[in-house]
Amino acid sequence: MSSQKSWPLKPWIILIGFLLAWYLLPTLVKSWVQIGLYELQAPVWTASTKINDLQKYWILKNHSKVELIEAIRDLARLNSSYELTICENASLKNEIARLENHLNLTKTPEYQCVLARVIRRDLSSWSHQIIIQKGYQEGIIRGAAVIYNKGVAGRIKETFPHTSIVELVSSPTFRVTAKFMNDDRPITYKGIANPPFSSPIGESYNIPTDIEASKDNPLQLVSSRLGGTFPDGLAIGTLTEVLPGTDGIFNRGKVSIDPNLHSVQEVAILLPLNLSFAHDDQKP
Amino acid sequence: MIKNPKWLSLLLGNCILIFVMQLINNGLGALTINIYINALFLFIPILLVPYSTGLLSVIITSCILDASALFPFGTSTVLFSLVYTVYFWIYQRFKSHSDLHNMLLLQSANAITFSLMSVFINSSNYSNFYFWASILLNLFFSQILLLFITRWFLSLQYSLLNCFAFKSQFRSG
Repeated sequence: MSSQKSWPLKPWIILIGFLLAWYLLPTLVKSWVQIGLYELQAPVWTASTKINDLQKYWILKNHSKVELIEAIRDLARLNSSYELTICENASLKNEIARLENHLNLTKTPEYQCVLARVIRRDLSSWSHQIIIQKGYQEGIIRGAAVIYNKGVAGRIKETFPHTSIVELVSSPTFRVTAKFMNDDRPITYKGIANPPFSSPIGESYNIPTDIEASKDNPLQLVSSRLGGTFPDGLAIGTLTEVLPGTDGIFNRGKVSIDPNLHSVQEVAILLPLNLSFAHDDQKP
Repeated sequence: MIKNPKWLSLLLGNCILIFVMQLINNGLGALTINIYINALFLFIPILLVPYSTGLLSVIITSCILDASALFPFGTSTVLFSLVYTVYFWIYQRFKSHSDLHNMLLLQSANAITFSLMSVFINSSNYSNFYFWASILLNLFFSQILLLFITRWFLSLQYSLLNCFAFKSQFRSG
């Protein structure tokens, strides 16, 4: 303390020295430090997920045999309905391939689906992100589409050996090309800051003036393959309000996103099978 | 400052709080609330250790926070080191070091760092009403939690310093 009093400018000189050193530090070193510190934290997040799983296991273990038998019966019904859907999908795929060959159409991009568990959520005012338990060692690439059971979840922003950061569709920095169901005209979707205690929301821009939507008559907003990240037709949200745009040519609108997005437990990453379809960000 | 290993003890305490806050924010995700009490990482060293030791702990802690963030690496490192120095300087000039004054300084440091981070990172959302509503509500809940968690965290850091046999004294009265 006495040295601080004798030389009151010392903290400022040290601070200026640090700021200069930080500014002059090569980006490679900063990147190395970032990856190192991230990798130090990743096992802690994975461990907390494992502990959570163990808690769930002990809760389930307390269930009676009757409850388990009922659950197995419900799952068996669900499985048979899924089997029917798989058969239906296979016949639809064959039909698409037949039509593509017959009409000489460009082939639609195919994706490999990789399932991943969410190990951390970070929904701050400035960004919405989740961390998943699959990384580039499992073939995850930057820019890949991430979906969940209600539609588009987001996009891979960063990949690490066994974890990846996903930027959610509700994040203020998220932007993607989209379209309305049964309408091929492209529009722009952008995430915005979400108010607390409410469902996630977003905004859409460049909406043609003939499109109308309201809370009673919402329009389904789906992904478009024009952006190069997502395949066609995955649900993003519903357009519930159309407002006049600032340019007077196009409108803008409020998009409601499914509230389950912020409590999602499992996601699927869509990896393009043919890299010629992949966006520049997606190429390894 | 490297020779004085008190920063390691502070860093350990900070890592515990970072982990606890990540668990809390993970649970609050469905409510779209995010608690921000990062000013504790830069204010507690002011009370317990000399400037350079505290600065080292602030730099490493903010690098840990930045590592998994989507904004450029070093954003909070630079901001925290700046705010830490300013508050260290203010604290030296405060005649009264009562709990109330310390709490006021801590609350203002938290509000300032949170607001500055929000303004720097989200420059494209200034015109959005929801952006400001989200910031104000998150800040409100963060400041309330800060009132309850500060005493515990100060005790934790003090215990850790004593546990590692670094005799430290509060600068407050």
